[in-house]
Amino acid sequence: MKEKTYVEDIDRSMYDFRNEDKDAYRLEEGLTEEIVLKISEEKNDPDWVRDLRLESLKIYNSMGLPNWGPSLDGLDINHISTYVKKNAKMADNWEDVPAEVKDTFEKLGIPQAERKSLAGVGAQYDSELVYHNVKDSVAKSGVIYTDIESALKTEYADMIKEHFMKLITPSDHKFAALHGAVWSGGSFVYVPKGVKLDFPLQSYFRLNAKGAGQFEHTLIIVDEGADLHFIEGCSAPKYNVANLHAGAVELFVHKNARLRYSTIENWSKNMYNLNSKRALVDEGGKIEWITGSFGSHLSYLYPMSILRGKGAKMEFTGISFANEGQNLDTGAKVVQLAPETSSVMSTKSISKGGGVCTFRSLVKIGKDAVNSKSAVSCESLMLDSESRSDTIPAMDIRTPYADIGHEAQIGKISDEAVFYLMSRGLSEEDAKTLIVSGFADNVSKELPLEYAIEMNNLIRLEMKGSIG
Amino acid sequence: MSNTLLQVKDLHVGVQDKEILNGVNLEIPEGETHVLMGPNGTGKSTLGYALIGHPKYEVTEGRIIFDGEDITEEGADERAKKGLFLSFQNPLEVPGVSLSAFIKSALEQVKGERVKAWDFKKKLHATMDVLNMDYEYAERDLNVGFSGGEKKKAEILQLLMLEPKFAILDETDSGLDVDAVRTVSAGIDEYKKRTGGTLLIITHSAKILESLKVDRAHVMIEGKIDRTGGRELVDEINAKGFEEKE
Amino acid sequence: MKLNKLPVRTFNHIGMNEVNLDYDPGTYENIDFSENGILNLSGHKDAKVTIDVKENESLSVIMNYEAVGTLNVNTDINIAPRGELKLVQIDASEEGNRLINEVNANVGGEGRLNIIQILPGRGDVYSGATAELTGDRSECNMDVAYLTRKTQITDMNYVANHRGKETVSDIFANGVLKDEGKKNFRATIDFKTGCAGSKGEENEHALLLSEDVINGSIPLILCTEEDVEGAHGCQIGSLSDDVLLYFNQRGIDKAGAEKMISYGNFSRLIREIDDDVLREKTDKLVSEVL
Repeated sequence: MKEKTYVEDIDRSMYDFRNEDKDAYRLEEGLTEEIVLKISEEKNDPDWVRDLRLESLKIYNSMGLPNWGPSLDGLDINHISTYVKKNAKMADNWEDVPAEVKDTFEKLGIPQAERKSLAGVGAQYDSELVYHNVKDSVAKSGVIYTDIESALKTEYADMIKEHFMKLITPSDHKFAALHGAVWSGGSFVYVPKGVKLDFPLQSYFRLNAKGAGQFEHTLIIVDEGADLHFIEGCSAPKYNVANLHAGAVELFVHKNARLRYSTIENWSKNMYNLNSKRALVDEGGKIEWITGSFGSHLSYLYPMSILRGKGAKMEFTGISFANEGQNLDTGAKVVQLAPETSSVMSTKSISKGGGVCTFRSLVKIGKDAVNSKSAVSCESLMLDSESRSDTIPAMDIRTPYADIGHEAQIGKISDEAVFYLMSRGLSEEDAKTLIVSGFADNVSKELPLEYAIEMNNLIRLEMKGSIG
Repeated sequence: MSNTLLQVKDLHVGVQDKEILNGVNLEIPEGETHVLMGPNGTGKSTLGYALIGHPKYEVTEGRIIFDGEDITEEGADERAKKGLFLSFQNPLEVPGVSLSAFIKSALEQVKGERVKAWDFKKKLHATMDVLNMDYEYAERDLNVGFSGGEKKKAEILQLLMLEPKFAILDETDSGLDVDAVRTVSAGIDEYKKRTGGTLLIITHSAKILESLKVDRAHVMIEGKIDRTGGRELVDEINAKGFEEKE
Repeated sequence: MKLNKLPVRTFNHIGMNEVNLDYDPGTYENIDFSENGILNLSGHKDAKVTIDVKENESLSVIMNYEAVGTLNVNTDINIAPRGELKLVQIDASEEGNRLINEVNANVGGEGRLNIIQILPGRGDVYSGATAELTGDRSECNMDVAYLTRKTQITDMNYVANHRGKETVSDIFANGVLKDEGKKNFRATIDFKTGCAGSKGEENEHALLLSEDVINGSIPLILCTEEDVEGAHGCQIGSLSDDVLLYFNQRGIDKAGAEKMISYGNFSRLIREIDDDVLREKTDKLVSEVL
């Protein structure tokens, strides 16, 4: 075989190492008004942020858990510490990051990636950003990439107030409310009119603390005609108690702008990943989501795109791989409100070793979305009969002048393909790994090389022991 | 000289902002049979679609004059009622609607009057005989489960029943075996005999032309008529292929 | 009462998980109809119909509905091994009435269930069918044609539970929405553990002919078995340019093309009515409402 795409074997310890919780400031577990006020105080919030936190807490307490999707019985917020901070200030110089944290990110390859192919990097460790840096040339073009807390103290304070939790509001669902109450860390990105970044910006989220939650907020505004690729990576060491991730990502794509938002999610398999992502796209703008979901014990994740401007576009390309002990409920939502909008969702899922993958989607085409298009395609691969794979797409169409296509398929690895590869000398496991990597190439070919390699490594790792 | 039935003047046609025809000129007198030849992807089918008014093919410049009238802006159904017919390479399948019900409905639209069931059936069966078609096909759902050859025969059956003034046959002979080509040729002969109609045959091979009287042949290269000649041009191209003229 | 429940819930805000109907059933009339023929059900009533198909037996049953008020019919079907049932259900209700039509079927080994629903009626329709493909190599086919016009509601829920080995299901709904019609189509193929070698397919065509229609679709594929094949496809919208062109080219305008395609949806199924009088009557009704 000429097209061997896989690389050297890696082992899980690359992600699984953990650091002791010493030197950390850690709030007691649970969620009370007192705890929320402590977070607010610790972070020196402006009044409106503190008020939003308290209001969100009320909403959180008044809302029930979803009556659909995977069971959240194993998650008890009273055993989650919502705020954990390393005893360190945010640095813009790598040398100033504490050795232990620096070591963590170096193991994960973060600073190397920055030097090679990124325009800027942010790194969050537990509840706070520990490092943020953009290349000089990027900063000179007026691009802002910093943490939200710092940005609130600059001339961008009003812009943040105007957008923050306006797209994802605390009343959307229980975990959006939780986020509103205890959010900490994350990034603010502003790309001015007409500025096109040649290299991506990246944020890396690491949750090291046991039994803790991470609630970072990402707010990105891409102004008219601008272009940005933003990459988000996440990982955590595995513990035997639940960890929680309830971040929020709010993306504003202005007229004729383009934003590509790529995620390689590799949380440890004790993580409840209840993340919310939403994009609002103006006339002629485009949002592209590239998502690889490999980690987490349980996920609820459906990035939503609201196409409100004429000719706005959305593309969603995703893959989920659920292995033993994982229940990944993922997909996308799109709401098309203006004429000539278009959406394309293309997803793949792989279930193995008793893992559960669910593709859940919503396509909503409003009355005014004349001459719009939507195409959804979803393919699922079952690697054994202990696993589960569900496809739950919904469509709500309110104009006849839209072109709606939808396809879903489910099946197994073709025995003929495995046999063919084995007849060329590959072991059965290698043959299946190769086929699964090929199945996943809708996502890997959209990623920068380093990430595509990381993704293939993850697939290889998950495919270990897939025989017998 | 007989009257000019179709006149195409400096026709420019684009699909999704891509120009495919860039200045086609063509005149076809009433009652003649013309052939349009050319390599694949050169715009022959585009010309066919533009002539019958396919909404995806946008005329950006030029005019189409049919029977003395400018039809460039008219809808496909209006053009059909005026007597333009195209046999499709891949005709539509309509479950639940029989071939015979479809033809009857089309005939009533084109003629503008109701057609008596008995007269219709008689003519339909007589025409199916010419095409060696089993009557049972008329009661099958339009093109559903038809083979490639059956679909082409069904198109020729519609040609003979609707009796248009001008018919464009797009690659009607492609993918057919020798017998089927013979049947389709017989159908085309019958059309000429019954109506004295005018034909434009689009093809890139030329099997179907062997038994037909061809008045003029046109060669299309890159969205333009490159050469025009008599029957001998067909034979020349059969022998040499589509080289650029010297 | 709650009906047409989606087997697995999803987002609540889209309102497709189930129907909450303001209706309390009274006493059910029990009807055993394990024979060939036509069962006419009309008026305002609640009925439980039982159809038993014996081993190797082949039955053809037509249920003809004319609701006045609410007609609520639950049909329980049991098909013994190698039995075969063709069930044609026709709704010919007048405007302002509503039909609740629920079918639950169990299909034994190598048994076959063919449900054809022809829904040109003028009232609201809540129609569901669940097939338990219990026996190995059992099959079910659900083929539906509907027309939703004025302020009509057509709410559907079809479920194929693949339990036996090498079972086959095929769900196909073909419909037209006009005026302020509101339609929900739920379809579920559920490959349960142990159904190795099974295949399921669900398809939907919905032709939308007005700016005020509401079209909901939710086609589920649930799977806990490796060796299966499931597929779903749909086409929703107005007539495509290519379809319209072909009609136009033969002189038929847009309205004529829409009517012909809509008629075709029904006529394909009307042919399956094994009774000349009822077939002609239904054909006439379809022509009227179109």
